[in-house]
Amino acid sequence: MSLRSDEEVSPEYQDEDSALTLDALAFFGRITANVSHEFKNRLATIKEKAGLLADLTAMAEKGIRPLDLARVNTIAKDIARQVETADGACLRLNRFAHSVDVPERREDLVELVSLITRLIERQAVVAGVEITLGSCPKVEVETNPFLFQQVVYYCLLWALDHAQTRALSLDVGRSEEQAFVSIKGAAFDELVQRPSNRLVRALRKLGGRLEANTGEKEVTIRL
Amino acid sequence: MRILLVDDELELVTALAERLVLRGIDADWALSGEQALEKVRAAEYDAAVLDYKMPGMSGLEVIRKITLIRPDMKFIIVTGHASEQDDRVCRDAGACFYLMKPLKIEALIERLKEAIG
Repeated sequence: MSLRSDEEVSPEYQDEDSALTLDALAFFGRITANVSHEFKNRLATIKEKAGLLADLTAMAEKGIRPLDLARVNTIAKDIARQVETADGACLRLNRFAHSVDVPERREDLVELVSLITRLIERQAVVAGVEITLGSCPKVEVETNPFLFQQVVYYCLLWALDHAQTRALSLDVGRSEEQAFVSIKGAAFDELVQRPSNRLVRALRKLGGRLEANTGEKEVTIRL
Repeated sequence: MRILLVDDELELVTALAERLVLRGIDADWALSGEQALEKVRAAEYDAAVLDYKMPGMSGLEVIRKITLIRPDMKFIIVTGHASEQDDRVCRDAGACFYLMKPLKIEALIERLKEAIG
């Protein structure tokens, strides 16, 4: 079963470019909201750890309890680790933001898939699903990196809602000269039979197609 | 005052619990709604401070389930991003207050005192 991106599945979009722009904004907004939640959690933790250091210091100054230097060192390291985590999220957001810089360029799909899965990590955690990307060699293609991530994101969102196990596994590769991304772990038939309009629009613009492999509980995005 | 903090961020919840303990508040913690329910079944708490979004049960679902076990417990919801709509939803679910992360510890204590009365 497959859905080609050039197939008409809905008569709704009369102004496809406007719809694509709105879809892109919504996608961009959702990703930045995810990252801002991550920042908030890191900042909240750093604030409590810093507050704890202040509390322990104040108690030592008042002679209530001597300062445990080993404890202070541990808390300082905890803070540094939180900063590193936040910095990682910041780098990913920056990389994602730059994916709109040019409409098409040579990209490693493995890197893009890795990026988008990290950007939606919190959504996956809240859904109780673990997303893993296998160890894949580089798959370089000329593509629109933003649209490509958008298509993967829509499929992953659907998979998070319909996951049949607590794990989704991704693979990126090339078969018969075509690059592909596969997501395994959910019954994807409905996604391919009745895709959302936004997925159809993004696929059409990207020039890709979706295929569901019912027996394997897998969907493949082919470019 | 016996408080249960519920958040899946281990480092956040343990640091906050320790800071409350240093201020004379008996603070315990749980990393999920399921763990919170186990604790509430085993011991009495005056109030729970819950993260709005957690893996498994959300903060609101935890409030609904705890209320069935301990109808007198009070609740404060904590979130990264507040909205008027979320505030209304939380209050409708039985939360006394809806606070933003990062927390101001003195403000949290004030709200806890106000909620418990």
